[in-house]
Amino acid sequence: MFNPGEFVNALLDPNQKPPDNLIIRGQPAGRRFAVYRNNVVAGLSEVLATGFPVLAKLLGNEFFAAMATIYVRQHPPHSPILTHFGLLMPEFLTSFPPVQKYPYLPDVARLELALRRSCHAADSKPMGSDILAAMSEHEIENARIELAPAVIQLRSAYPIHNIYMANMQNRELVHTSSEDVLILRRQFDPEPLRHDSGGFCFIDSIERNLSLAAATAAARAVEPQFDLTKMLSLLLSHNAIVGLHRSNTAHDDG
Amino acid sequence: MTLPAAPGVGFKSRHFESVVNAPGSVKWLEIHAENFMGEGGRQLAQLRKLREVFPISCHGVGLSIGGQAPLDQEHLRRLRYLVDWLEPASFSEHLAWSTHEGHYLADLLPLPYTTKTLRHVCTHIDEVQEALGCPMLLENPSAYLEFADAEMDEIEFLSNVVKQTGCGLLLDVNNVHVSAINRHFDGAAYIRNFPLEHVGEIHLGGHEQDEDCVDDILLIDNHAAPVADPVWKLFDLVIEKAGALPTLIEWDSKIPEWSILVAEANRAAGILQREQIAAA
Repeated sequence: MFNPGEFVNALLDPNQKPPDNLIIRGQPAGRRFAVYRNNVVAGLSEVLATGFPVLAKLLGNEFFAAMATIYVRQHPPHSPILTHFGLLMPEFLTSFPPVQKYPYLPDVARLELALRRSCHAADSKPMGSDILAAMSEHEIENARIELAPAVIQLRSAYPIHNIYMANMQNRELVHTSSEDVLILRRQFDPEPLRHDSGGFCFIDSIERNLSLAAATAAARAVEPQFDLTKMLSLLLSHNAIVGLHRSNTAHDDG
Repeated sequence: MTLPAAPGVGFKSRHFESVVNAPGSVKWLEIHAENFMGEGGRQLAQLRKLREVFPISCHGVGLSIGGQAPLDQEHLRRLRYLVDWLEPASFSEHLAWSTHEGHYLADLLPLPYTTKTLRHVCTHIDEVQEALGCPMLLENPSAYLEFADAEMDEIEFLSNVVKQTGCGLLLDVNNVHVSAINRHFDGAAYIRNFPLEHVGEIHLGGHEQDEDCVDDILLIDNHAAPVADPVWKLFDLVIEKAGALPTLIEWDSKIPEWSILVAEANRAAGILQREQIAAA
């Protein structure tokens, strides 16, 4: 009887022997079964290496491939769409004993997952800067803006932007304090930008649908130097604003 | 739109400019459905442009038609959404399984050919054809081993599927050669017995020989090399018997420059045209 459960267990656990009904010319299939074992692990490990290039570089290809094999056997994908495969990598790294001396790795994995999410996020039509140019300062402050689905921000206790860029551009790591990252996508290529805590607070407020005035106030509470004009021009130049909703009342955010 | 009886290639994003500007003998493109189920991004934008210029063959790798479990309804809905806007000239999938209890194993796993698995496969194909509103093509797998409990051979199994579901077949000639070497049967005899009148598309891809098996040759279907000479020879036989058919050059790993794919497509075009001239 064909038992796919038995087949899958042997596929993911190299210590189990292949099911008895698998043969080759009347003999037990033996190492022929290993072809399927290899295909599954090698194929999915390659997907992880492609999806986490900086992680693979930090750990070295050989170490990454060995680690990916363990990850694949522990967390085989749930969907035939592999675009986001590796979602549990940050948690995996947090508890994987050999990498405990590199506590920033889970955040690097989070950044690489966020870049992939941004890459495949829905396309959107950016708002032109002319709309803001035609509005008074007061009107702008009371408006709410809508960000493109590809805009994602991340908070980290480690200099992950620097770690990421140093590895992508083969340059030396200079910065050592904590960093937040803002991912913007002008057309198709996500750009990870260094972000400060004021900017993080601003984007967070916008995502919670606060007005520009309320978001600016929240940002200034943590970063007195926060500059709304500079932030808006950064977002506009990266096609990150897709909609603007004017407020009917002047102070409806309290 | 139908696929032309000419060469096509598997589309890779990095070849986009070359495909548009220098298609050469390439007359159609094939995509892996699962790579185009995201919400946005470059690949989808490229596909929206390519579908205006080329007939597209949509090739699924994740439906698990050969599995015992019911089809993943969410995946089938995603596929229908893709097929609805893409309007491909053809949809094809594999005689294989790839999911089990919610896990996707990212490989085309084998099934024994029995009356029971035949029933599962036919039910799944009926369901896919119903959902997509068109007949699909089913592809013969590459084999590395056999099942002690098999009740029929592959050709009998495929012929039964065609009879019961009205689907067509995708004949992967490289898979025939790989299976023939690995299982010690005659590839040419397989082609001569194959129900060629139901074939709507041919696949030609590369394989490699496993270095560790010196006493017992093992070929691995890896789509990472040029089409091998014995596969071209079998392809020649298919075209001689069946006439010209849409023929795909498949290259999915260690992807070469566009010019190398065009050279492979040209070689296929030569064989297809020779047959078209002979038939005229």
